[in-house]
Amino acid sequence: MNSKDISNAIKARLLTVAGAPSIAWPNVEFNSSVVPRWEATLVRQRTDPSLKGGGAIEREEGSLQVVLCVEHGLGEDAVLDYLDAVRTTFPKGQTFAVAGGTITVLTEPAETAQGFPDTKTYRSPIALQYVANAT
Amino acid sequence: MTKYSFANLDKWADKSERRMDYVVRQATNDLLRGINIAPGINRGGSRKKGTIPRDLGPLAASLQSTLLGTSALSGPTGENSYVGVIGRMKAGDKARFAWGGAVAPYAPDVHYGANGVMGTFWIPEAAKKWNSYVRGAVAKGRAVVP
Repeated sequence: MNSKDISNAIKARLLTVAGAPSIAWPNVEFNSSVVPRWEATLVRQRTDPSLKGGGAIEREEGSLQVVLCVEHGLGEDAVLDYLDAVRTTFPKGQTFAVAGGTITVLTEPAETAQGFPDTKTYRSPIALQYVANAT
Repeated sequence: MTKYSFANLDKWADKSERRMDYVVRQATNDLLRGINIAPGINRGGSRKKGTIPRDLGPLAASLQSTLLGTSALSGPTGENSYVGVIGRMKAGDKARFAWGGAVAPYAPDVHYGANGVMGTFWIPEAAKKWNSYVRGAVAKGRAVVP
């Protein structure tokens, strides 16, 4: 299990959310006029490489940050539908496999923060805490 | 090292309380101090994850620190406003730290990203380090709190 495995497993799972629109990943070319879209990034901290050797990770804690972007003037329903869909795919305590370990969703899947507009979209950030353990 | 017996249990309890207060204060201090302020895009820097970019606005200085608990303290603002909260903090208190507000309403844009510019997510980056700050403070507390 290494950081790339973890990142790819979480990305793959996020792509299975029902009704997910196009997702913009860090450092991947994305047409910013596509709306609705999600902008996803992983905040990874506290990796523990002990005992495994070769750069493999024993345990990694982090969070998946997704910003749900919808058109202006749609109200909050569009965002809340997405939120519910993410919660269905990432319920609390959910575990799923990663190469060489398992990932567990820690807290309620989508802690939401206050939405805010930018020039083209209404943006609503959600966060999902995870911990990945090597087997 | 002081030896405690049943007769001076009070003193032992006092010491434990002092240590717990110390851990809360030191860990909170480390958490807030640990958030770096980096030059922003207009100053030749970039959006670096986990940092507060300092550009032309008062984002870093918009920190509002609030203590809820035994000796509540509401809302000093400023880059170092957390110091006042930490000075009064006791174990078991809750404190709240927030950026933005009226002076820097663009705080969510910088934190989560907007208009095609990446966010820096300094709050989750800092929060994930909490456990290690507490561990460090516990170790230090054993050494420095008599």
